[in-house]
Amino acid sequence: MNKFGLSNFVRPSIFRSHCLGSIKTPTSVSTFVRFARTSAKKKNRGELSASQVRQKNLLSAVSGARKVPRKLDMCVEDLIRHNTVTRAWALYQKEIRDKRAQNLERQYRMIDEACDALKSAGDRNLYNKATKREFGKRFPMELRVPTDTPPKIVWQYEWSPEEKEKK
Amino acid sequence: MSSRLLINRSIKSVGFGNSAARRFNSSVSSLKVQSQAAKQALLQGVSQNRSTTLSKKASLRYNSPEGLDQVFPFAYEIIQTRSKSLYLQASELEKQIAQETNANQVQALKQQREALLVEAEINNPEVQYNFQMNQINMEVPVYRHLAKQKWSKYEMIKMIQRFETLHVIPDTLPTINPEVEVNVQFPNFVNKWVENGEILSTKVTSRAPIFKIQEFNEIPQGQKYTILVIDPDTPDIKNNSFSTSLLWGLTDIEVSLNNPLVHFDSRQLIDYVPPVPEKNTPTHRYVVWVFRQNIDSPPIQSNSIEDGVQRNRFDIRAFVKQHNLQPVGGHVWRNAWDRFTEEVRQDYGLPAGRVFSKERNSVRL
Amino acid sequence: MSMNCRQIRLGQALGRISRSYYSTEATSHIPSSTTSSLSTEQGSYVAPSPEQLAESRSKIRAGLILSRTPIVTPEVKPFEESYYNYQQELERRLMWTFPKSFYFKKGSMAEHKFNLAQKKPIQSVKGVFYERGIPDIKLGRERRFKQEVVIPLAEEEGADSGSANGADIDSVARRIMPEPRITEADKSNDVASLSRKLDRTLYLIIKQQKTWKFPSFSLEGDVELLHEAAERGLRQIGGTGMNTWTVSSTPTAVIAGTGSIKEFFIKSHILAGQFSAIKSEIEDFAWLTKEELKEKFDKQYYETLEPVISEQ
Repeated sequence: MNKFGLSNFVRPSIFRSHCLGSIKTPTSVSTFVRFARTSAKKKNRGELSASQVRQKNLLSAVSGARKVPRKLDMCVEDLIRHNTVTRAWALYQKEIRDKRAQNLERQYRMIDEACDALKSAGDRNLYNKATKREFGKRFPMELRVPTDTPPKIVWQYEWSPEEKEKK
Repeated sequence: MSSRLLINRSIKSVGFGNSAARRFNSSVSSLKVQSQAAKQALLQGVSQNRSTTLSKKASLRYNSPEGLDQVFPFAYEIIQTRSKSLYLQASELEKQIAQETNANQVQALKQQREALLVEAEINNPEVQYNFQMNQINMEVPVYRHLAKQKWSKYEMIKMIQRFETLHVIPDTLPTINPEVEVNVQFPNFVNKWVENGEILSTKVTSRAPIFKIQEFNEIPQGQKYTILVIDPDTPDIKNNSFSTSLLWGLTDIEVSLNNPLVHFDSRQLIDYVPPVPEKNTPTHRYVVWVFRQNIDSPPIQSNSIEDGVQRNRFDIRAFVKQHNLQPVGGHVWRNAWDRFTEEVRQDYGLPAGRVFSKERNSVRL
Repeated sequence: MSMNCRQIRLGQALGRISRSYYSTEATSHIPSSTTSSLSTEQGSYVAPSPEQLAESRSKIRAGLILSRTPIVTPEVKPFEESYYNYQQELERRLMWTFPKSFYFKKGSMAEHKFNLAQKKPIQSVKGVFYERGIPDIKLGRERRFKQEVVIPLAEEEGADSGSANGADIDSVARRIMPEPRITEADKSNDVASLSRKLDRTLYLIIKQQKTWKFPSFSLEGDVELLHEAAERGLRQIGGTGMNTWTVSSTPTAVIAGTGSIKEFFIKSHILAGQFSAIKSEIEDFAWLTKEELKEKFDKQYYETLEPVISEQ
């Protein structure tokens, strides 16, 4: 027995440093287990304490020695098919991206055009106010992000301006 | 295995309409997989059709990744649709080329067209399969593109590296910008293409080598090539240095994309003399330079001192400048004196070689 | 100089907009010459007289593109679905064996339940010929195939307690039932309803003098701005029971109408409430998707405004 009240049984060297950590701050569970072990005077050297089991599980969860699957070997045909799929997906995504960028550019040109028309429409105040930068403008709280399935109440049909003022 | 049965059961047989298959260029047979069994395995999946690249035993144990057979038809459809639109663009360019009169413009348009044709077929699984199985036709732009890509990813880099470490550049020519793949084989060393920088026995190199010049671009009408084999390590005792000697010269070589071997009957500038390094000289480099000839230049005369063709003290830089040659590729192998050298000398009726001392004199000659 | 400056800003703005993933509409406009050329341009600009101002304001109309943004995500296309499925299968095939001992205490009831729920792979037995390859089992997993981790159902979930709706909606143990993506309004094709076509953007259009158009309003008074006019006008024709959010005070498009009238469009989203036609001049109104708008609109009107209307 050492000064911590621990018997000097042999532990796997890999856990030794972890066990020292647990001695400094013993939890109630580990204390209980320790007393149980010492009082019963078991000589089962292979059995680990609760904290050691926990640490072993922790370590084994992140070690891949026996967990890695077999290498995925594809035959020539399947590899070509896989590459075809990957390539098609990349092209499909690019198409979507390009289309979106093109549409944004068109929208921007339309805004530009509208602002130019407004400038030459006679009321300069209208133009100045319309093209003034709106600092601090935010999306309202009520605006929802689309979800996979709709909410229980799909649309709030009854709404009055007082509701807004309350908030 | 039960899970394998599950895979088989879950596959929805998605038919490939023949109309869809016709979207790739069907007129060129080299863009199709020739074997019907291989084609079915490639386009319909190896779960239903046995893979032709696996043995019967291996294919029983083989498990195709799940979900691949379901997604492939959609992917194939997307790639075909894209291919169709690219072919349309290419045919429009064709019309423009027919109307264009400016030669430079025509060249630029042709390049654009070729790029489109490559783009249209590069994702075709049948093309990829043919390329992997080495069933290619170099006349077709997409195969040329794939072959160039493969070469420039490994062989070209390796060749430049050997040229640099062996100081072939700048000892012979200032630099190299490889455009063609050059391969060398010796009749005494059958079915083995010589690796760049390899040290060979003089017995192997005692007979003239076979060359392969693989172009990756379309070869213009009347394009000819010149090959020089030189030894830049011939001892030059007078100057306490080395000089270059010309071992072999071939000119007016014509090769095609699908037949890249240099014909053994090509016009010689100078006869082949095998490498016979003298005893105790350092390992000699034997450099093969391949040049594109200028179409308008007059032909180089054989054994003509005016044309710079001379066995000893050959000046390759002056020769290249004089005949307006464009270096496009090269190769290097090495030889040292060995037990066959004297034999080779006797066969060719060459005088007995000198024997140098093992160490170079501390006193400069 | 001004043109050059605009081109640069256009590039910057496009870069900024296209980088944000969710943005499908370009809404910000930086005037081509607000800061740099204020002094020079205002020098040439002569303020109009009140009569001229009223005259020019009468030729400006504020149009309103009021949209209901999608409530559910867009339909997954067959290629996307099968691609995602393939990726998932690959991931399951390549994943490490599930670390059971990390999640379940040895000898516990939870571990027992988990073990019962798992499918057992075929064991490799000595002397047996396996035509399709010898099973390779480590930690209870066949390493040649994907791993299927079956999560054991809780008793409340497994049992058909019938508590999906009704009184015990607050019960923690109730079964979660997703709402359908297709609503009653879809089935009856009620174009006046806001709960139709949940995965699409709907636009409010009104029928006046037998033509379908986006609502548009004239400016009131001397100082009313475009977006103010649009908001006011909407409530005049559709009642006040609508919570809307105007995207920007900058017009998003312009259409030259009859005479020298110009119609500027303001974008806005409806957040709650509904449009109820309270003015008799409005013959009909509808909430429609892009394709449906194409059918209702005059061809030229649609083509001019087409880029502004979202496809999703």
